[in-house]
Amino acid sequence: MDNPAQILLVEDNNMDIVLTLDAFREAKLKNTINVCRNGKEALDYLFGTDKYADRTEFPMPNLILLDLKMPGIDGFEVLRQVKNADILKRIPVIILTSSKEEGDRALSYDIGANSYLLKPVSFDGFTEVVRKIDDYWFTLNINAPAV
Amino acid sequence: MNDLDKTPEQLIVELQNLQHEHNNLKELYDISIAQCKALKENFREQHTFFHLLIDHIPNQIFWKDTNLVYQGCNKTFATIIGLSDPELIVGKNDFDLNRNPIYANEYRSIDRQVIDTGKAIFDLEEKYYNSAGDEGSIITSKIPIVNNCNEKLGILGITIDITERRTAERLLQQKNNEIEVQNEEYKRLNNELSIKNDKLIKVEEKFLKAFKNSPDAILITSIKDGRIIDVNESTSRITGYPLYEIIGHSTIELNIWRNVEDRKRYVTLLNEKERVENFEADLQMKSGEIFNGLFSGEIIQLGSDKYILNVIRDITERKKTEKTLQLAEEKYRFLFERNPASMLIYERYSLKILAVNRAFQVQYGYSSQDLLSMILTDLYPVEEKEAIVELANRLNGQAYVGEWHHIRKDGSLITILVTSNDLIYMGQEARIGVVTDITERKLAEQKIKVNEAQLSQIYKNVFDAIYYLGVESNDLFRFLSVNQMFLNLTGLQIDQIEDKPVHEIIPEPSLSMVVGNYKKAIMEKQTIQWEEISIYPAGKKVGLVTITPLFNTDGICTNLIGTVHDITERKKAEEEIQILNQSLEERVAERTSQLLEVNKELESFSYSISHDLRAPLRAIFGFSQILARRHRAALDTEGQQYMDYIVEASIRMEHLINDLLNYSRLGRKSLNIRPLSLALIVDNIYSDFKQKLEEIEAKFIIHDTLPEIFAEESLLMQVFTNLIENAITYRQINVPLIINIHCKQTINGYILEISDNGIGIAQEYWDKIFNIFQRLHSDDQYPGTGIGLATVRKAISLLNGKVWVESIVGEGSKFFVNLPEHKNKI
Repeated sequence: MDNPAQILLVEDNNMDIVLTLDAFREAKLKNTINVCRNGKEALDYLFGTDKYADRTEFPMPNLILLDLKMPGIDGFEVLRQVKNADILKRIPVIILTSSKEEGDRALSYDIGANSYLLKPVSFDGFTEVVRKIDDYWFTLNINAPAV
Repeated sequence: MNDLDKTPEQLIVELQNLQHEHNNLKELYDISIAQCKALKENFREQHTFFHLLIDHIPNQIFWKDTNLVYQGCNKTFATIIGLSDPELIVGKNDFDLNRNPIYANEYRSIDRQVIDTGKAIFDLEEKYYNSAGDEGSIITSKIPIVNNCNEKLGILGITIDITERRTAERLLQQKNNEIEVQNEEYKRLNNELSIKNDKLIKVEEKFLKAFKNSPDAILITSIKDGRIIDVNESTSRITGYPLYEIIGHSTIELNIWRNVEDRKRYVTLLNEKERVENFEADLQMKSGEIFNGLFSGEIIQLGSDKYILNVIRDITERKKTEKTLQLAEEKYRFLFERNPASMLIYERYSLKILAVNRAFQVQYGYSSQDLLSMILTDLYPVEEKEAIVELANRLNGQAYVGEWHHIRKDGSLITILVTSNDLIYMGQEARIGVVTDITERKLAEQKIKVNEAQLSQIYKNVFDAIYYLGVESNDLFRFLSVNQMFLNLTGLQIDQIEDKPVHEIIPEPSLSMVVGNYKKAIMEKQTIQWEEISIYPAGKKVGLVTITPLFNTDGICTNLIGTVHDITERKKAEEEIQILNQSLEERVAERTSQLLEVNKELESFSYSISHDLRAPLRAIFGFSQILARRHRAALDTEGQQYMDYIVEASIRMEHLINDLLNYSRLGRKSLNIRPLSLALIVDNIYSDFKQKLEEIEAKFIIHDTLPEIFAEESLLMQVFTNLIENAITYRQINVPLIINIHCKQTINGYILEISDNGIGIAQEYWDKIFNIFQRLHSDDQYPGTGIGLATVRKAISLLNGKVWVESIVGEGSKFFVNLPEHKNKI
């Protein structure tokens, strides 16, 4: 691939980050994964501000995995800003959360989430999920052209 | 001047004149003489001509002088009287002529009359005898002869012989008479003929009229080829075919016979008997409409050929009428025969029973044959026989109603009410009686009498006040009777109430309401109840009053019956309770709002607990799984086992969290209640479990048609999911699971029954199992969280329903879910 798959993982829980990254490894996926540990970092990264100004080091992702429950700027706010920004709005955003709540689901889709996935409790579950994400979004799905 | 005076010349001239005159005179004389001679000659010629003329005309002509002596006659006359020459008659008279003297006298007297009177007589008929002596007839005209000086010279007679004419006339007369006689005969014959003719004409006219005007169809058909040679107008009217379509065609061509077999039978009969009467057949009109025809036919001879004269009468109407009559008769027979009232008919004088209907037979137990051989009195008990005979003799033409006794076949005595009246039955004078068994009624009447006594006791002793009012007008109600309790309640004396109008007894302000209620009860024709507070001598009373209007047969309210239940004490108690209730309600409301708050907190607490519990669990579970997989070899057996325990516990924890989440989520959502197809929901649930159910070879049976209900879909799904999961979890080992779904409608909604043949639940746990975390089994036996049924109960209660269980240990459980039917009940 000319432009290798770039994933931005936005997750505040350290262990969930480890599990997610390990699941990618377990699934033997070669995607590059950058991690932001809260909402603010994620927005900085995406808009290329502060320490994320260098796009070669922090390339624009092809996919965002976004947790909802985060202190400060939460997932919804990140999603809202991504979808409102012309340069970002075509990046698929996958919500990855523990919440099955109807309200969370509804709001996510309303402000433009492209997918909504439940964090599996087991590691096997995680592995399965990331494999499917890669399979669907980078193999099957045809992305929108870059802005 | 005389001659002398004259000159010679004058004289000469004179002389010459004289001479000339003389010559003229001489000439004249000569001419006269010549003329005379010529005249004489002329006369002679005329005379000869005259004789010639008269001699040759057929008339006899004669002439006589005044002395009636013949002076001449013509040849004809002479010949008649036998003279050879007419000159011979001159100088003779009639007597000389060898004439019948009688006739001669007659001739002469008439001659004389003519001469004397100077008037001619014409055409006088006379008789004569001719020379041969034969009598003849003559017609004579006699004319007097006079000269210019009117002197009578004689008589001229002209006679014509009419003997031959007379003879001919006589013969003619004779012939005429004969002809006349014949004529008369002819006339007579003619008359006879004419009368006969008239009769014939009339007969023909009559026949034609009958033919033309007959309301029946008349057809003349040829036997040879069946063709119709003549028909009347009615044929056209009855069959619907115009005449020109009928004549020249056969009835078969016209398709008149509905059933051609009928025609064959008709023709066969005609051939056999030459005459057929009242032959019925269904015929078809041009329109296809069917009518009943009544045929009469006869073979007739017209000229050398044989024909059939057919008369067809349209008896459709008659048939209909007959049918109607028959139906009517059947109806009346039916009315008699099947009348639920017992009826009998008996002959008036003999009292013989002529007919009975079924009801009678049933009521009396006798068969029809039995009864038809009996007489009326056989039905009566001995003591009434004489009276009934006497009555029967007396009844004539009038209706009668009376009460008697009859004995049935089984010997039982019944009291009857009989209504009877005259009737002509099969030509016999009879009476028909309608019998009603009033035995029961009589008993009932007795009972009523007994009842009255009992009622009177009740009336006196009943604990409620009872009163009886007369309704005298729309506004005037009068106490007719009250019981003792009424007096006790009011503290009034009997003579203060009875026969007093209501408005004198009941005080205002109750009175207006009470009278208003009385009117309402009458108008609505129903019992009305109300509470009434009145102040009586006995004090302030609260009564529960019931008033019932009573109506006569004309539908007019005549009385009101009222009861008063004294609730004064009860009211006091109620008031106290109400005060207590009020404060209680306030307290409850307070507590409820507190509870709601607590509940909300609890829910949000349990939500965040479940949610936040997930993250550490995921870490424990995820990393222990990684350890168990990637680093298993680095652990010893014990370490491996512990690692497995951690994984197992994590799984269990995951279930608990999920169930808790479900449970707490239930209360936090606004409900979207809408009509749902229960069938569709159960179908979805079945699909969810299909694989699992097939794996364990379970049966899933829906028994009733599932209705549409008002509910929240996710709640209902949750309920079914949990109940079916339970059924699967708690099934019996080695017994194939059967899940039955029933649904029954009740007055307040539907009851769903989800039953299984699982291990069952002991009765002491029937309520407890719906509490959260309540478990009956260890996880090793049956895995579970103890939250499923609590979730079910919570979901159902959110839908304003109820859930309960009935179960027998070792046989199975039945979970009942009662859901209200309508949205507005939720």
